[in-house]
Amino acid sequence: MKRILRFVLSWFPLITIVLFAAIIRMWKLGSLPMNLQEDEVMTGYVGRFILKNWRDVYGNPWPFWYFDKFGDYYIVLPIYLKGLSTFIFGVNEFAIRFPSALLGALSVIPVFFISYWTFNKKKIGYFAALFLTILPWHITLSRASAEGIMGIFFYSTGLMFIVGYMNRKKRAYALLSFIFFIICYWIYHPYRVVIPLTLLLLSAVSLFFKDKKTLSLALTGFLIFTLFTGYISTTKWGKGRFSQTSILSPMSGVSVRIQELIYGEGQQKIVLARIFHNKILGYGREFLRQYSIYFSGEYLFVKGGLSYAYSVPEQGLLYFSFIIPLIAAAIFLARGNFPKAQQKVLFFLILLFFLVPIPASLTYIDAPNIQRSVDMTVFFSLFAGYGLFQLSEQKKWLKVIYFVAIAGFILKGYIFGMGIRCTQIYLPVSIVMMDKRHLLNM
Amino acid sequence: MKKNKDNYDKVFLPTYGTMSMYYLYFTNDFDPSYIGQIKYDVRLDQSHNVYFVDSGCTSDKISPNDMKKNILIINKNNCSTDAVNFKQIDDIWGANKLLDFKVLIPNKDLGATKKVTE
Repeated sequence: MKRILRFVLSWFPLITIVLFAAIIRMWKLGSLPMNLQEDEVMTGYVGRFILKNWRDVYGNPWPFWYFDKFGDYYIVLPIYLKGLSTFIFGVNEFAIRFPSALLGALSVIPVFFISYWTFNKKKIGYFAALFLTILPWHITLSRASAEGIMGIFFYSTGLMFIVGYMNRKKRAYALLSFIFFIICYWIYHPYRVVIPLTLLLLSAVSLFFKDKKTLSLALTGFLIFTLFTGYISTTKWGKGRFSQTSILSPMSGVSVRIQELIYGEGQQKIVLARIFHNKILGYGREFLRQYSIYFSGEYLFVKGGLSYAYSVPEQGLLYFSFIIPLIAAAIFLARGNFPKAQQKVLFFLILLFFLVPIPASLTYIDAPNIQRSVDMTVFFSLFAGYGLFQLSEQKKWLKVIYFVAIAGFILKGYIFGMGIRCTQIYLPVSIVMMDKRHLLNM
Repeated sequence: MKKNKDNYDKVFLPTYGTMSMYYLYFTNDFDPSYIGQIKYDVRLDQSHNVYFVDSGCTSDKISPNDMKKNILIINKNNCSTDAVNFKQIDDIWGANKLLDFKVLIPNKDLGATKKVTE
């Protein structure tokens, strides 16, 4: 009993933050967002159907990889989790949304440990965890049963064990990160690209810092996951989603634009056309255009992204007041004199921040997409936490900025709360628009 | 719908996409007999006496034979209701007050015969 009490007391701030995150994500979960969207209800129904009848609605016993909705291959673990939830909470809206809200709330734990183990300061961990707790981007998706939010819990937990391994070299951490990464393959498609890229980056960073132990494990992991992704990409269910959403798809319009440019060049200009209007340049330009959007102020702070099902009117993905600690983080990271072991982890995490939007940038449907790029929330929380910590440590006028930032978060937290309320007012309008969209499609 | 569907021979609901899943989920209907009936785009044509019509304006799709029966039709709000053949008996309001659904029955006095003869 004493042990439990001591544990609770020593981790009291983190437990409080997790509870706070859970309350924010689960308060009125059944009715806010107002209605279940089509995918939510379909996956919830299919999940319960399988668990009840031991086969899916087409008669396939216990689907292992996917559920096929006419060529749209849904990954099965979120479906099972939603189905399971209906046996606990009943057949209602709350049950379908509960798994993502719970995993969204629990995601603050790995974010805390990534920050704590990177900077060796618990306070930075608490700040980062608190930032994720109040982040509009993360809250909105957690409440909308988004698979990306479930995935980010497993991905960031795997990342937490990687950081743990880089610092302490315990093999158990490597094994745990492997387990959490592999679960991501059964949650959300982009992780089938993000995870091999993460391990490739880890290999490169380990090589640069001459960390042989991490290098050998990272390379092994990279090869295993690349082969796994390679296998999946050869199956029709594996490439189905990518071929639908990818910028390489004819529907993206890139190939048409390339053709237009070639025709515009005029007849008998084959060499010029090959030099200036080839596929590498065309698709590369589209990729860079998409990639840059994910770091734009309009996307992050003003408008947010798609799909409509996840958009909160007049609300960006981050608060404007995040700008203060993020700038502070950039300045203090650039000026910081970190030990070599810490440099290695930081270098890895900073590069990873720029790497995680790559899969999202390769798609065009519903782009820029806030779910496909949701991994960025981990890094924004981490860096904002570090920036705020540095401001709080300053003695002179910089401390004033710290208080301004804190006041900004409280104010914006309130405004975001109002924003959620606003969706009650705005939603009818957006539904009318959606309705028109459907009518046009019919 | 749950309460009243048994009072009618057939009930026609507007649908697109996987809308029938909403009905099955909220009526807690996970009957294994749907295996084979649910199509590969997760659509269902019929659940007992409830028919899912692939149109927002369900009343446009009712056959002359069904018009003679004791049927209930749900139309989306943006459908122009044929006031001769159908009689609106109620509205269904969801959370969104702008989008009601119109609850119709055939107008047996005049309209139904007219439509059948056409």
